[in-house]
Amino acid sequence: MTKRLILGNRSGQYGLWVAKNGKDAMSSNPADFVFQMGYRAARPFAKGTLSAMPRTYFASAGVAIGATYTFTFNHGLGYAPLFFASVYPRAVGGVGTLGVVNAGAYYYDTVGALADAASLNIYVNVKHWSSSGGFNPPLSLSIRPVSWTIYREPA
Amino acid sequence: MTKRVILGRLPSGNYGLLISKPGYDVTTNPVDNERLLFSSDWTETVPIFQSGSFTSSSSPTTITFPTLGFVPFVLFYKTNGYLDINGGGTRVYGTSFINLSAGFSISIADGSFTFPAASGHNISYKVLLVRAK
Repeated sequence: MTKRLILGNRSGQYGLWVAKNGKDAMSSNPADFVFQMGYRAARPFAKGTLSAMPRTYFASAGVAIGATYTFTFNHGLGYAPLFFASVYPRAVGGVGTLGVVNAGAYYYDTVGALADAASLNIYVNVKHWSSSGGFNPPLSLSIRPVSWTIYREPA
Repeated sequence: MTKRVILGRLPSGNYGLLISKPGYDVTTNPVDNERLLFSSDWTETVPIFQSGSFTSSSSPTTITFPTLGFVPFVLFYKTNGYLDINGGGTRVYGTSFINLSAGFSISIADGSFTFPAASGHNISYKVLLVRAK
């Protein structure tokens, strides 16, 4: 039977090693382990989801239609952290189709997400294109959820 | 010798598993989470196998890491970048994901990845102990 767990001395090193089922905890292959001492586990610092945001949300936030809205979370970690951020249906950096309401295509452009030592910012640009031109999303237009997770780990 | 592992009753009085980084006594109460490698109180952790940074150049950059037996997920961040917002009229600076739609194509294998020829990008990477393929 393979040894799957070592707590204590392993070839002169003290610690904990937990091997995968069928693997030996003395293995030198890091892929054989569920956990071993040498590798860090970055843990979440904060996470959140901003649900559907109708046009009125942007209006109340004082954002001109067609302009970029910035979602900011002040983490205060003192370093730019590892993070994930997405806006359904596209991850940061693309144009997602939001749907068609009557005639014309309505969409938003997720400009991107960017972190610094103080905050995480997610930039979303709301647009509406019609044959007459210009931006004018209807009140029914909603941005799909924006979600993000920040880890206690420098990026 | 520094005590680095507790399995059982923790200094807080709860029961679980704590593993500290080298040089930090895991029996310290209250424990400093920033100096732990692992705590059974943590959930949704991301296992990092290797991390590092490099500056891309006019030639492709290949970074190696020990083979894992699978192709891992690798996170890439650009630390000297900026985003064009408001239709490109405003730049904001900071650390961001590598935007693959901007023309980057990064090949990842078991044991290495290659960043394309693109001068002047300060890249931070994290090889995760998570199978991508």
